[in-house]
Amino acid sequence: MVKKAGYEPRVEAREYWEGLKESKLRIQQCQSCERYVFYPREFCPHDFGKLEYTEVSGRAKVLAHTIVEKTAHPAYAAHTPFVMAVVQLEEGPTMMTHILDIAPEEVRTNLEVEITFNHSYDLEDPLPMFRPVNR
Amino acid sequence: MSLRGKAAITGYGETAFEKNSGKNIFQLAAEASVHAIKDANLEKSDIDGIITLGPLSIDARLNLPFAEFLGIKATLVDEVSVLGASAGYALKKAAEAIAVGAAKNVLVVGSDINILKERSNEIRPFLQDYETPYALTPNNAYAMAANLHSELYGTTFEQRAKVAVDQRYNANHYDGALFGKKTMSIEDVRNSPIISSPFHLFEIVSPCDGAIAFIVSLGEDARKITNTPVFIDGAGFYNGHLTISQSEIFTNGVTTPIKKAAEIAFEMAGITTDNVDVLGLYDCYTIAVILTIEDMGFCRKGEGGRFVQEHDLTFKGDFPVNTSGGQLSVGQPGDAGAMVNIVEVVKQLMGRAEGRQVKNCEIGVTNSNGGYFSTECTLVLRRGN
Ligand SMILES: [Zn+2]
Repeated sequence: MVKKAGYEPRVEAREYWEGLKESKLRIQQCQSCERYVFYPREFCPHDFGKLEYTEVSGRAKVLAHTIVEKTAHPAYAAHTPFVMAVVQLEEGPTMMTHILDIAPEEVRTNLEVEITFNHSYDLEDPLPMFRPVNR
Repeated sequence: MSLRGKAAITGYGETAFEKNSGKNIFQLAAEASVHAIKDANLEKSDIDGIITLGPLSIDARLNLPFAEFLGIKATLVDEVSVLGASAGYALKKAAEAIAVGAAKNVLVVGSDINILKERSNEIRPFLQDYETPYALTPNNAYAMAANLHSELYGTTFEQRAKVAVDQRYNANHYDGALFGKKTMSIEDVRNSPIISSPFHLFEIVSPCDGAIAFIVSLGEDARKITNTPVFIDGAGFYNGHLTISQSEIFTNGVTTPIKKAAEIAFEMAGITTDNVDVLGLYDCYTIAVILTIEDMGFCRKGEGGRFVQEHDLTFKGDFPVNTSGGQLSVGQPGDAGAMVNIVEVVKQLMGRAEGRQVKNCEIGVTNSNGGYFSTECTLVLRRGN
């Protein structure tokens, strides 16, 4: 099992991590400008507004990606090649992830994806991964 | 406030760059520093400021321990920690400190140990919470930028590889380069394994042990100190983001914070791209050089691949970049890596680049890049006549 690397407890992110344990993607939304925010913050990075957690759709599109051929990370070393990507959630925020359930060379910018928690990685804590929609 | 004429580099010093020097970070820093102080014909007692670069290899600030280790008491003892942009940023801070009278001769030193041998356990907030758990390393972040640049603008492998190949030609004429004795062709780059698409191994820097130091002196004293001062005429810094997933580069056509850093530096120095004779551009990966050329305005966005294909980047060429080989061929001592790009431009402007000397070199531009196109510092350097 591979422990996630956060050495300092991210108190502001507790609801995000708790959501993942229930296979839900819960991120923050600003109560003044209404923009969604990821990763979790103390105040809205756009206007310092108050943030509240809310569950979001889990739908996103690929902004950029790479096919990882070599990694020293113990959770993934046996799973190369895999696709690492930055995706943009339908609600706006961007996040790091992997794109699963597709031939790596078929991934393109703007590919529509949805969140998945089904994967064969040996992770101690659940992490949101994404897969193509309508497949 | 403009820095024009306020401060100048009056000396530099280097250690050998080696995979395993057998020395520690303070020994290397001391060696480069003593060389730099002697190079400027200054005495230990003339140095009244020290700025160190935050290291990657140990969990420590270097500034106070190093000042004591070297035996210098100063009115300015600082450390900058803006990742790979620290080299340019430290020189900028030195010039600014001199401009306001905080010191007269500042020792700026970057030293680090091969991160494959030693790596600090420093907490890296947010990066390690939201990105490292997906196995992200710099290889992957820069690879994403390179992939997107190819998708949007058609930038090719051959164009990226040419950056590494031209720089290797330069390194073949520089004794201090880690890979100076090995020649390299486009086919050699193609035959090196893919690490993270689209990058082949030979498009990626190689970490090493090493240190480089500069002396930055009060502008009005500079010509008394040396016949060949190099003035820091423009300096611009911009911090766009920290983590790659929060970067705007994937939604703005792969435009990096270099654009803003360079605008500030060029305006301060009163120059345009037409005035630049030699460049030292941060080259952790081939794509970094291409994006820097675009974002500094030497060509339009998206045309950087074609630009490097159409221009000769060697010291003999029409657009000399990283004329000692850059970090790709000389080696990368942690976050001090940009010192490699900068010191070569300083040598060119001082007329001390030996067999690599570019003729009639008056204006040099350097860029130091940190994180994932996160922190950027552009310097405009001018030969003092
Ligand atoms: Zn807000």
